[in-house]
Amino acid sequence: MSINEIIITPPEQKWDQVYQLISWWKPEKVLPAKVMVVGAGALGNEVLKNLALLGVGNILIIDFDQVEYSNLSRSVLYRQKDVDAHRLKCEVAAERVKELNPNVKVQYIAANINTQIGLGVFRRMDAIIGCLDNRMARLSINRNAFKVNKHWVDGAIENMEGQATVYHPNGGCYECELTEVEKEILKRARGCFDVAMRNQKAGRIPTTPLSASIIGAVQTQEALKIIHGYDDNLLNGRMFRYEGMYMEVGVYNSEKTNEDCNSHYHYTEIIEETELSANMTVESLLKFLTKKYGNESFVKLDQRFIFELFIEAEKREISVQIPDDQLNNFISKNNLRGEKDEEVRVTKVLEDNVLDENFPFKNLTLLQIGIPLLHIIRVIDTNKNELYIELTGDAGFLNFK
Amino acid sequence: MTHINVTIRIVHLNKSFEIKTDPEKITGDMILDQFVNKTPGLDLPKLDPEKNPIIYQLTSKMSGNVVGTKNLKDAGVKEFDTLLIVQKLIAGV
Repeated sequence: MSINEIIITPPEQKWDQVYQLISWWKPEKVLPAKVMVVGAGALGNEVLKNLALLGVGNILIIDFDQVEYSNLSRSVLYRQKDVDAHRLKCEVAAERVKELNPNVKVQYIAANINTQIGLGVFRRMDAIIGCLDNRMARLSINRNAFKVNKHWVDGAIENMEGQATVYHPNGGCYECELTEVEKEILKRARGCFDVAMRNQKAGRIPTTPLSASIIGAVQTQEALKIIHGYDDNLLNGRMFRYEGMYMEVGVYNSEKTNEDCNSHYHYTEIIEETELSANMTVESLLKFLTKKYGNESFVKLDQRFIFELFIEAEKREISVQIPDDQLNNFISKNNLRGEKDEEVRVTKVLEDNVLDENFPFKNLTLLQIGIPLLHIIRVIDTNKNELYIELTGDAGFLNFK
Repeated sequence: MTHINVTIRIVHLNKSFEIKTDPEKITGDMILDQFVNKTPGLDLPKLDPEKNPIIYQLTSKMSGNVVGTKNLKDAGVKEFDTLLIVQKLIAGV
């Protein structure tokens, strides 16, 4: 008589097997989902922790700050050693998300959301979550999300209070809700970004891990609904608001939908051009466009390109080649305001933001003129049609690991 | 026009005020202006630590609406409603 060897193995355990007991949970939606989290501070930490535990398949983290000691009291993902090593928040957060759940794929980008993340990145996301500390970044996400027809989830906290809202391209948006005073604050912040940054660092608004947990949870919950396509149950155009000290909790309908709002601008048909990349030169781009879209086609840039500055402290002009978003950094880095913090004026820019054969610096790359990787550029063709062309050659840089 | 009685509650000060007002003539923004800028002794903060103006919002507990530019009637505010004065938050870090 022979004895057959029988191997008994335990049933395969899946990370989300408990979640699969939930009637509405759809692993086929959650596992391949791509979610962008902008800001990896107190709120961002909570959202990232939740996304990791839920097993949301692909997480993109955007933040350009380093971990500071003051972050540790409200950020579950950071440690003292990260402060000592001057590590980037996005890098550390990505590492810790992987530690929490190795099944999740993560990518991080140390960049300014206002200008350095291409629209093609937004377009590839299932949900976008803003965990921000300023209006300008919220406005940027709002406009970009609307252009490519995506939801985004906003959250904000202070002390033991918090609020969360979902903005949808077919409804009222963040910009619609801005008051005149807020628009004025934004205008000032745009003009003097470095001063705004200094003020932010000088006087921090107090936040707590309590409000971050609550609002981060609501934001993640809304993102999960977006991923599942449960649009009817979303906080669309409504504000969840919580005040912890006296326990006032409610959901309120927003008042405004402004038909003339600048954010209500959708890119209709997006053309994917795999031969185009932000690493190519302006000359190569223009050649490509001429060949494919006619010799009168040109690009309408999203931001100013600056040729000349007047330096009040030195009473002279200097020639430059910088996109608008780099202006304040350029001024600070080169100490152009002098000891008396004097004015620096932009005196010459690319006319009407039109990038065509007359552009004098055709050897610059698109990145150097302020077009980010995987961006969707606006091209006016020979027949005066506005086309939305993606630099699809950059698609490989979006690489979750 | 019939006036209505509403309670104005300033949440983070934990203070409440009973007022009688004309819902067809008075907007949410007018109430905010009164309580934020014109009521002596309340001293609601005007600037945040970053020296930017603090924006206040008025929300109606009964209607579940943010009450801003519309008059109270159009915003769904009713007799004995409670209107909460809260800050519009921007921090997250």
